[in-house]
Amino acid sequence: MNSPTATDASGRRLRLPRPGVVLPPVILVLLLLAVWEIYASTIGPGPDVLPSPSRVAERGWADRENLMLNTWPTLRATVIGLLLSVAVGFGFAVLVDLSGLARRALLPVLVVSQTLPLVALAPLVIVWFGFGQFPKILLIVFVNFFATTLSFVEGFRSADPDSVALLRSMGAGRWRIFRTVRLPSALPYFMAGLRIAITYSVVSAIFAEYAGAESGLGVYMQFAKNTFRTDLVLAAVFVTAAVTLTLFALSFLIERIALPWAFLIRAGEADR
Amino acid sequence: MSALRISGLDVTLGGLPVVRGLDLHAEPGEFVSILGPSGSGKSTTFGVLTGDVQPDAGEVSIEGQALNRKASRVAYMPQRDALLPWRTVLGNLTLGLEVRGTKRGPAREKVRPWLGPFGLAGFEDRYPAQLSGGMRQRAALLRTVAQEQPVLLLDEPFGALDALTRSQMQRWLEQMWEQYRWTVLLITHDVREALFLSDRVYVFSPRPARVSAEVKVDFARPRTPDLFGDPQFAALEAKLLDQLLG
Ligand SMILES: Nc1ncnc2c1ncn2[C@@H]1O[C@H](COP(=O)(O)OP(=O)(O)O)[C@@H](O)[C@H]1O
Ligand SMILES: [Mg+2]
Repeated sequence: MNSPTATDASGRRLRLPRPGVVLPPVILVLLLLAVWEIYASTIGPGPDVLPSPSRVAERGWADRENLMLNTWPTLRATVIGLLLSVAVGFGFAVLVDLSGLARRALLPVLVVSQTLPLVALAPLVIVWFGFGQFPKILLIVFVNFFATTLSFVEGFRSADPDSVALLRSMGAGRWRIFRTVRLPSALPYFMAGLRIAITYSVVSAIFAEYAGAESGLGVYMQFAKNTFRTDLVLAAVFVTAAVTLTLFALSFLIERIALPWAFLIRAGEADR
Repeated sequence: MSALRISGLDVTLGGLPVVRGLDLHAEPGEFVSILGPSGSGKSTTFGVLTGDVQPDAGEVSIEGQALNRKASRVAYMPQRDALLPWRTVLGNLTLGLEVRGTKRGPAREKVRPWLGPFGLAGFEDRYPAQLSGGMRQRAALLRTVAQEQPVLLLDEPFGALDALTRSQMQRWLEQMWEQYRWTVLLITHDVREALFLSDRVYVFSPRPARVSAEVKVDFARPRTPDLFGDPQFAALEAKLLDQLLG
């Protein structure tokens, strides 16, 4: 199938997302919303228990100022947490990649860290570090650094042995090989890891806010729930989804600009 | 003085004897091919020359000097082109010069005049994924030549190409060599390719590798595909195939 193409200054073909990729999920979501709308406004249990999507949108819009006020802290914690997760993951991955001892010492500890129950941990972090942004960010990093570490480790390992041998034949040392071959090889893996981290980060931020915070979408949801405003809880859920999707789209945009070659390879594979 | 000389080379990999008592040499400006069964130890021999593989015994010298891992004096082209997908064509071409200490700007100026002869003019800002198979191979070859080392090591450079592109590339390489007279050591499993391109051909035994035959190829240059119809060519081809199949 051909997708719309355009050509940039250097004659490279730019590919726009194929309609075949974007359309099906959009249609599915619209369909689900329609079913929900019809169910809620006919045989549903009533607007206080299950408001229709249109009612959620309407009430959410009416409370938009308050909603926005609580979206910013969540968004900020998410983005800072993500960046830190990436930095921490990169640091660990470089250690693991360069030293066999680090790999044997570190990987089991990282695995164990992932089995600790978040439900118990989140309130503790709040007790230790208060209701500000810091405990949220800490929790996000804790949830994500394992995935970002592994995506970098896997990415470093994906380096083509022939390319490494080539560099060595030129007399390149370890550091030169790392920055010329291993690091660039890891970037597409890193972007994939980042996208997983994005979804977990938003959820973790809200989780932390639920456990206790001054403001944020989690705080908003909890308040709405306690006052039996299911419509506003759901409005906050919609905003959460929108935030996640925006960050997701942004990650593709960044990849498109920073790693144009990765798209060329993927496009080539899709054509085959 | 030989451009390259290997004598009494032994290599063992993971307890497996891969090379035993190998002797070979290449004179300056000579095109030498290595024919051998798959898995016989041809790439491993190149590995010794590039410093990737540690031999158990033997002597290797380039222009009379022993190998030095830090100051490599061979330019190597791996079995697959190994172009870095995130570097443009030009960025790939200057890689060897850059690693060997030339700054990017001067390295680019050094490579540019070669773009035309290698059929890459106008493609220097493309990424490897945007090139055809033949162009990728020419880019990988230019990356090798641009390093300006006394010996070129080409490991099955045309092995992955379709038959048509492959014979085009063989003719092209013959013409280029005619003009520049690099010292080339070429690994191939294609008997006709070896005969068409080389001044001399070594046949390797099955693992562990040693030289089982050495054939001088005296056909006049420039060579053209007419050579394939020459009865002498056919006779040599049959002889080498015989050697290869044991
Ligand atoms: N690191 C290694 N450890 C053990 N055996 C190896 C290693 N590398 C290559 N070999 C073996 O050495 C033999 C020669 O390999 P190679 O030189 O690549 O053959 P070819 O002549 O096809 O280029 C093969 O049988 C291969 O299985
Ligand atoms: Mg080989």
